[in-house]
Amino acid sequence: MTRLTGPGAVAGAILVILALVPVPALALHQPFYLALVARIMIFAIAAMSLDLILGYGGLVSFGHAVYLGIGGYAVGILSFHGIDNGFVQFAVAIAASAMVALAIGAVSLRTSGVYFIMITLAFSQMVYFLAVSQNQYGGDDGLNIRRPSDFGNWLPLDRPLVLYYVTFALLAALLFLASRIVASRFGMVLQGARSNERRMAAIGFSVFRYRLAGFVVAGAMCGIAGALFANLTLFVSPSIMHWSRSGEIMVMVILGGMGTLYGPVLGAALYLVFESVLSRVTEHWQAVLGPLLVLIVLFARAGLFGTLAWLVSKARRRHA
Amino acid sequence: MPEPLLETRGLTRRFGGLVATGDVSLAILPGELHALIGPNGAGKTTLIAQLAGELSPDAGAIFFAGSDITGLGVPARVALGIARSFQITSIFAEFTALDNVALAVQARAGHSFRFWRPARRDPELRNPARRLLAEIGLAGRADVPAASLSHGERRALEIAMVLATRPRLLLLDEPMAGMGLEEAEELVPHLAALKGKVTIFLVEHDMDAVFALADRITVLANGRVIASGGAEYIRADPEVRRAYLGEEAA
Amino acid sequence: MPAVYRGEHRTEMIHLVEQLLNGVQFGVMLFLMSAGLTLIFGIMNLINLAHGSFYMVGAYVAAASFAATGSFLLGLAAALAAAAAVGVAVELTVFRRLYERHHLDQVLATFGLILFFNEAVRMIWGSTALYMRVPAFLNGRIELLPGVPYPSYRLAIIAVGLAVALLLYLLIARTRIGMLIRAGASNRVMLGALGVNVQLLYTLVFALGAVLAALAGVMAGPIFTVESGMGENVLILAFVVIVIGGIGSVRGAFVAALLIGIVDAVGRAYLRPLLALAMSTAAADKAGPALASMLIYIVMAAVLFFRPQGLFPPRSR
Repeated sequence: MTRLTGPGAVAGAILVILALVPVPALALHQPFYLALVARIMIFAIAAMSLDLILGYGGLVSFGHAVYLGIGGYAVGILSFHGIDNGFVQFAVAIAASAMVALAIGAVSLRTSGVYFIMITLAFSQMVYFLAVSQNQYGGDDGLNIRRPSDFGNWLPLDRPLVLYYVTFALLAALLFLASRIVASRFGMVLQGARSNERRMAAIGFSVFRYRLAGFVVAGAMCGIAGALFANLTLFVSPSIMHWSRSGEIMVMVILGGMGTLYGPVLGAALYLVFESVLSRVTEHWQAVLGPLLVLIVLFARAGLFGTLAWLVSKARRRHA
Repeated sequence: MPEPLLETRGLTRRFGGLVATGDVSLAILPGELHALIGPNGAGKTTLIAQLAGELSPDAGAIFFAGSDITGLGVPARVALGIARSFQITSIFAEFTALDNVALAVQARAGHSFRFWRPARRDPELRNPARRLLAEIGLAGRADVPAASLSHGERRALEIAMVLATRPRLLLLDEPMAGMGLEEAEELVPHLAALKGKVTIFLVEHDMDAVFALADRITVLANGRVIASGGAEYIRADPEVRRAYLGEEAA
Repeated sequence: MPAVYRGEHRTEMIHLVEQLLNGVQFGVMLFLMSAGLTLIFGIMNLINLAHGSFYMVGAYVAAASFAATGSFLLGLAAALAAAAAVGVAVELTVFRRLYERHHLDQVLATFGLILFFNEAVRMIWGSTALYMRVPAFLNGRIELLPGVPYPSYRLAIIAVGLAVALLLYLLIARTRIGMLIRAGASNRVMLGALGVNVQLLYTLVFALGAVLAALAGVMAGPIFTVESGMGENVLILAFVVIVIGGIGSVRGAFVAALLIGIVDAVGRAYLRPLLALAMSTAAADKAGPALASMLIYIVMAAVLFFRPQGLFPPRSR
């Protein structure tokens, strides 16, 4: 137990809570919460994948939601053409997201600063319009999906509880993978490039190829989230790739704590719960969220995860 | 005279109407500590930037161990064995001192597309890093975040990082700038210890350090070489004294 | 036979001229959006996602005033005044604190502003789109060349846009304020050290940018739908223009805006028929519109490949 540091404890707690949510939800006959938390976990994957390149890599990529769409449409389009096999659908979702990330990254990463932000935004808009123009796949109205991905009889994704735990398993697995990545040699290069790009070149690193690899990995992970989302809602539309979605994902990363991986999980929960609660209070909830966001950015930039972790460490030290 | 390790021929660089580097031809011999001195604004940093590959010359060529490297970028030159320190210390502020040097070691330890093993527990990176920190006198500060180090310690850290890339030629851009008298004195023996192991091209204002360390000296003024030769010869040269009269008084 | 042949060519020519003019008209509107944005970025190093909100405010205020008073010009004046007021208010309360911050913070804060403005117009004017008609005195067609009629309203947009471009050029190149703007763009700190009231300069530039965006919004009112969120589509195109033109360069914004406008208009009109020459009509029907909507971004990618800093890159700071 002595090895459980502040951050480790909070991370562990998050996973335990997520694993146990179905218990009270089903006991109290409130299956709605299963869907809500599943949705939170899906966006947690998306936010965590963004944190990889934003928090650790320092790349302000505004257009990350595009991979949610690609993953979702992979499932949707394949299903439309009668291909329901889950393995195929998810493999295509990952591959397509990776390839698009490779293409966008190859052009965008040659620029930096504000150019990079604008360009990633522009490319995501391009993919959005591409989806809107595809009328045979529903265009602007979106595409209904007949059935969830088929993983055989032992994993029926049409049962909410199964989908919940599959999502949870993927979230946990991807969090673990991401934590290995950021601690690895590759992760060091990404963080070094964020910290001091000039020094990286001076010790002999060609930073571009590592950033591109990070970009692709993040895109692929987000594609998985997109495929899961298609399974959750049995619907996919261009709006999931709208630039405002990308903004929302970025807000989740910041709220929860940049550069922490588990922070974005908290951020996704916070944001979606807040949105859910606030939208019941007033239909003009965005007029509240907007200024709140401005205030947070101006005055309270540290994230939630860091604060919680710090509190836990403080408590432990007092009892040590 | 042995084959020079680094040689420039007619190197020229202009910024608009200003000639920052004017037809500079110099040779750095292997194993020596070659100092570059000159009054402020002489173009020393511009010259170093061109040698390192950050700036491309308008005319002239640069040769390293006989091959033309004029067109190569910074990482390519680093791969060949040319490393540099910056006039304003450039390190990774959020990493610890040990992480900083380990990252530099990592740059030379094959490719970094390794996604699984934690880098902070990799002996292939940590052990050489600790050794380098010890050599430069920072062994006790290994786990301190670089941002918390003193100015002199950061300078030393940068040199440790530069050494980690196992260079053949070290370009040091005013390593003692901003250091107090004591700190600067402490750095001199470390640099002296490096002589012979690696060729050093030192740009420095601190004349005590320069004359204590340099084998040969080149003097730059207004972008041009006004004298070049052994340390004692330069010390006595009247033209050099004239160029520096104002500097020495200040 | 020959007469018909000549006639066909004629309609094709007219069609092409029409599309080119549409492109110039769109380009000129993009220029108005981008000019302010690139100046704000170049001088204050501030990325402002909420710039589209000024465009929207301009459109809404003009549409509402025009409908209430019946006078287009009054609507225009009200819109520009409102945009200037909102611009100054936002600059004083929010942007002032963002200048020294990281771009990420600026992106997040201005994203928050977008959410607020989009909802605010819904609260004030409802969720359905406002209708804005073309003012009577511009409702007609002018024959540019015999047999080439073109809507007067669109011609007016082109004329106003070009006039503003000229005025901007004169302002920046020939006046003292323009000199301060150019100086501020290359060295902000120095400017402050010389005793110039940098804060006031910033506020003025900001207001100017807001007014230009609002002007574009007013002009867009009768052509595009006046609805919540209308600013963001144009904003992203303005980003594309700035990236292609080079950040901080008004000249670059002008060239790039016209380029984008023309490529977009001509692309939408001619890509499908062009593709139909090389592939089946069915395939061209699918690929044409898709490619047309992506064309601008492909052009951006192409330009960036050769010039990552745009056509007129900023000089060293």
